[in-house]
Amino acid sequence: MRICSPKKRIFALLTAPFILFNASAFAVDIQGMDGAAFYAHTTESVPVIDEVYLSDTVFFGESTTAHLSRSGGILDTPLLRRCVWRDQSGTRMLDRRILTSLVDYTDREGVTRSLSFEEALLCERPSRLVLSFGLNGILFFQKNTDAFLRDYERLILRIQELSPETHILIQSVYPVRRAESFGCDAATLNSYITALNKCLRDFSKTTDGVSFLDTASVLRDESGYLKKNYDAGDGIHLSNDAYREILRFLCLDENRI
Amino acid sequence: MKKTILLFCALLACLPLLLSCAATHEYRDDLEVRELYSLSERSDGAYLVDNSGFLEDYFALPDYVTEHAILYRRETDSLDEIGFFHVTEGNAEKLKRMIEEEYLSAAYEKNRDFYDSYMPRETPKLANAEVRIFGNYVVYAVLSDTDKAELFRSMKYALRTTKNTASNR
Repeated sequence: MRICSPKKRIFALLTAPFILFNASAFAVDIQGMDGAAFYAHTTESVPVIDEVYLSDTVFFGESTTAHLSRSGGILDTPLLRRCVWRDQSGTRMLDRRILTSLVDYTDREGVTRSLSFEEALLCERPSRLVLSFGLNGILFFQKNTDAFLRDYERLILRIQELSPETHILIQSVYPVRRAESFGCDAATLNSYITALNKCLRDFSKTTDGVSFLDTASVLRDESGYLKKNYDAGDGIHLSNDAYREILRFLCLDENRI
Repeated sequence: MKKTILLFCALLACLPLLLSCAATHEYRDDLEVRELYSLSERSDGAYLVDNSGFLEDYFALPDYVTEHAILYRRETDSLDEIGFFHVTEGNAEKLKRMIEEEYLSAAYEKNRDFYDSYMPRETPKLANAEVRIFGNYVVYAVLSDTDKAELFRSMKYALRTTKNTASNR
């Protein structure tokens, strides 16, 4: 066995504390992740995504949810693609038909079938279900909030009936940057969104087994618009940076279920 | 001349008899709504059936609706929908107006921003939705023009009957 030279020993002694200190700090970062695989970075600008936590989470909502797993999307990975329940149309609206609407469900063996949301829920029974509705139909919902909440309640009650152990997270409606397709200006639409989100927050407080996830708070700028770097280009849909931020927010300790 | 007058009087006397034998079309009233939508050839699983309050967000079904069923597609990019209703005598026109004004028009306005953005080819089905009356049955269709024409044709064929063979519930 070769004995290290004195110079190398001194070098090792001087650098070891530095290395050990950073490794322990690193370990603190990952301890909260149950030692799971993750994408961790030491720079604050790149957020953390917890694959294990997300792999037992289902995302169900409108196109802004479906795009999580679009080609090149942030969850477009073999493990996590199946967590986004969507169909070929890539969108849906919350109404009476939501429970029977079809999703392309991929089971844990990788087999994909077209099932109704109810059928998929019975197959999967995820630990948590993140719901995102409210932008599609908002012009009606902002005048008829009761109808919107009634549809949401119907959905939640059925989820709780079919999968009682699943915790439900209602996401706030995301802000927009432009609103031409809604026939109004972005400031007006964002005011509708803010009002609807307040109703969703109050609704979640009065509903057992439901949490409110105010994702909109990390997506909007000081004026209440969707941040420019989170806009995918049409003022409504989101960039991968936005989705990373959403998932980081979901994975924060205070938001974990 | 005398013969002509006699012939004319004979014909006049026979007129009521001739008229009573003429076939007049009415509609059956003995089919259950589920039989009706089975006849529409949309009970093959592609459509789901809801008869428990599909329209409750728009209006409460009046008491004169004795039976109803709404058929709709499960795909999120299809607006295909058909409604079948049976009403008590004399109320078909009232229900038709209610469906037109309080459901179809309202549904279009409610969802227009979403439909026009994501399924513009489907929106005309809702904008041009029709309601037809077949005796005590009221049927609405949110379908393509071709499918709509075929549906109403099949309903007319299934429900139309002659006066002397009509039976009641």
